[in-house]
Amino acid sequence: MASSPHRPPPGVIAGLVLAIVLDTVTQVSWKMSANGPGLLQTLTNPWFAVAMAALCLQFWNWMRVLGSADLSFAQPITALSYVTVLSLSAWCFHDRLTIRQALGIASILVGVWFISRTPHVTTVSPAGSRKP
Amino acid sequence: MNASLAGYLELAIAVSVESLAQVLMKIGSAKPSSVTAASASLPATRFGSARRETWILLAVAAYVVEILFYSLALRHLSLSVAFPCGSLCFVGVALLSRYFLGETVSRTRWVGIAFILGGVTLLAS
Repeated sequence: MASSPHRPPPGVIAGLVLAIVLDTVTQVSWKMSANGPGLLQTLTNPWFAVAMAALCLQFWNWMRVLGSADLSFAQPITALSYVTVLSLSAWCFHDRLTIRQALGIASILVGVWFISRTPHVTTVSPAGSRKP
Repeated sequence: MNASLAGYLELAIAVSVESLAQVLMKIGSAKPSSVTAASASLPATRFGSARRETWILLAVAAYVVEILFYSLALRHLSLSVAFPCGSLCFVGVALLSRYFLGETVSRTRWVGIAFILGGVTLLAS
């Protein structure tokens, strides 16, 4: 009986971490570039270039991750970027997190933990049936 | 049709198209299939000889459509509504992964997704 892979290889873990970092950088710098009244101000803001560079890197990185992991494994893990973006915004703008937001962060962390407990790939046994 | 309903419809389209875009990306990322059919090659074996670039282009087109409909929806809906509804794409991706890509989406994954949806809803309030 083939053993189900429960621990993702370091490359997949690194790719997921990078995905969350790039996602956070994209969203935060995109938001920082959108501080002008018009589209032109946003497009010419240097932070917009940072956002677009991060987006391109993210495309390349995400393709690598998807080549080695289930989509239904990798994609929910990126929900962690909700946590990082909110935490970074709260830290940068000295906002306090509400109790609800703290609970929301905890819930997302729990959810991602559940996802991480599943194998990162679906394997097909020699008999042809799918194994979790 | 009142504005709110139009907004929800536009958001539903955006979320569906985004889920589709993610699946297209997944198919486009598949490595050439090896003798042992690992998960990464499932889309490749199912969708045969179409070039990777085709799938990636389709994914980009889908993302463009999604951005369009999401922008339309934001005219009618507040971000505190649109943001948690947007997280429904986790459900869309899970369903499409299960029935279109043949991935195993176990109960544990569904529980995880449920917690994520709940968390995003709390974040938006």
